[in-house]
Amino acid sequence: MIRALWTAATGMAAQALNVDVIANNLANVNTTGFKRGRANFQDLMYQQIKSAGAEASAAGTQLPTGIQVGLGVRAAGIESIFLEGSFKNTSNPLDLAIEGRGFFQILMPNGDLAYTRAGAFSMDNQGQIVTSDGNVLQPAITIPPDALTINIGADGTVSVEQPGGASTVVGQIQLADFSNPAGLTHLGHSLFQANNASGQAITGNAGANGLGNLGQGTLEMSNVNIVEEMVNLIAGQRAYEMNSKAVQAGDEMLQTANNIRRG
Amino acid sequence: MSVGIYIAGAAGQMAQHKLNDISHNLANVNTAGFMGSRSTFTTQLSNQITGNSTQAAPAFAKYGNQFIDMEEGSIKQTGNDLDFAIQGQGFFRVGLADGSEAYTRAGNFKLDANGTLLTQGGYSVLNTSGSAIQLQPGHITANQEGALFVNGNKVADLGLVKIRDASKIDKVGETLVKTPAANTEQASQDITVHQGALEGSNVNAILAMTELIDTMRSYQATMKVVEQFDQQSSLLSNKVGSIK
Repeated sequence: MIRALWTAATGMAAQALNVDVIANNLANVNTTGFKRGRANFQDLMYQQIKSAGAEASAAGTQLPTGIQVGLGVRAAGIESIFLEGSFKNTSNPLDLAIEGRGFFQILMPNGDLAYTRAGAFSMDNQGQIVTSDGNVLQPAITIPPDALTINIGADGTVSVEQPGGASTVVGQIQLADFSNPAGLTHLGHSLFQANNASGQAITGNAGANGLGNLGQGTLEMSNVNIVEEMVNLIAGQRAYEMNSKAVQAGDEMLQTANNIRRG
Repeated sequence: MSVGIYIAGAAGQMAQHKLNDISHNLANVNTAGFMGSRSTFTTQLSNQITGNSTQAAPAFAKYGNQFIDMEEGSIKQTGNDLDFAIQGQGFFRVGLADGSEAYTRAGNFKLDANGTLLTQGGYSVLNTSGSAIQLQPGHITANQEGALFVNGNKVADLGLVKIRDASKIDKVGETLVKTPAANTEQASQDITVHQGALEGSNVNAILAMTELIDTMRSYQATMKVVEQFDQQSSLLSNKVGSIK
């Protein structure tokens, strides 16, 4: 049978994955702290028909070039692009944006740590700073119930003003960084998990050791660029169509061959 | 049987091979740093096969050679710090698991947990002296000569080579190519590296679609010839000598 059928099918499968990733990016165009994904592709192995340098005649002449038939394409991986999203001013004292590298550390219900750049925090019934899913920001910081204003400095120091005008420091938010943020596992809910590819979390205070400063009253928006995604969507869809045409061509050629002998 | 039916059959086979090549190029129309390839076909005189040199000899089509399209793919801006595009006929040096070296134009690199710079296939990207590149956490920048900086401090130079003779390139998959070390030379000043940009596939989709149609039609034409030979021999066996 014609290899082209399967070769073009790998192209269709790859472009379908590409469109899946783009659709997820577009769906999250307004998700706080979302990092867009990108599917990376590579060519598959080659079948050697003639090797370059093989002997072409008894006189010892050599073939200057070989013949290799490629077998299509495969997805090498879906990579998260950790470019900073644009910042939006919200004036909400518990909205935090990281200006630069770093992740907030979140304690999951199962006791594991997860990491996020979505800094839309709130308070739970005990006054602890929690994510919108109710998971506690680490190190845990409790805001006293009589706090009038909450102030979070660029270095993550959380201080509250209580009746009487006294300002008390109640904790400091620490950030985590990774050698390879792109290797983090997506958990959904704008959360990431460390794994062998990302490396261990390196924690530190905001603004120190290459970690970014915190911006209070600001949120980091999704880093999805709509125009870029739309262009990628068009390119992906057209590439899918072209590959389907190659399948069709292979099919028609087989049909032609089948029709040679009639009756 | 007439030799013609085999000639037409061989031509059809070559059209199938050509379709395989086009499909592979089309499958990689969105693969960063991919270089398309094309096969050429030559003729083989039938009297070289039969040994009968007195007759005027019809010729068979057969595989000639293959060449890799070295044209640059279009470069698109991605803004990603670990994307690098080469302007000019250069390649990044890549170290394979067996210690040998391969080359690539796909500059969509990534890091591992130790900060080693890797290709998407997980092979280490080499510096000018042929060793892997380690990058500490920090802001990564690059200049046009391919020097890498972390937080403004120079840490490595990307290894860049030029390939002298493109016909000696072997593709090995994973957007890597191999060629003997003697066929490479240190990249010169006319090659520049652009950070935050990525070279797309150099497959020309319009040309590939045109070739696809052309290949299909020439296949149909050669198959028609096979059909004619079939009918001819059927006439010969059914009509000649029949008494009406």
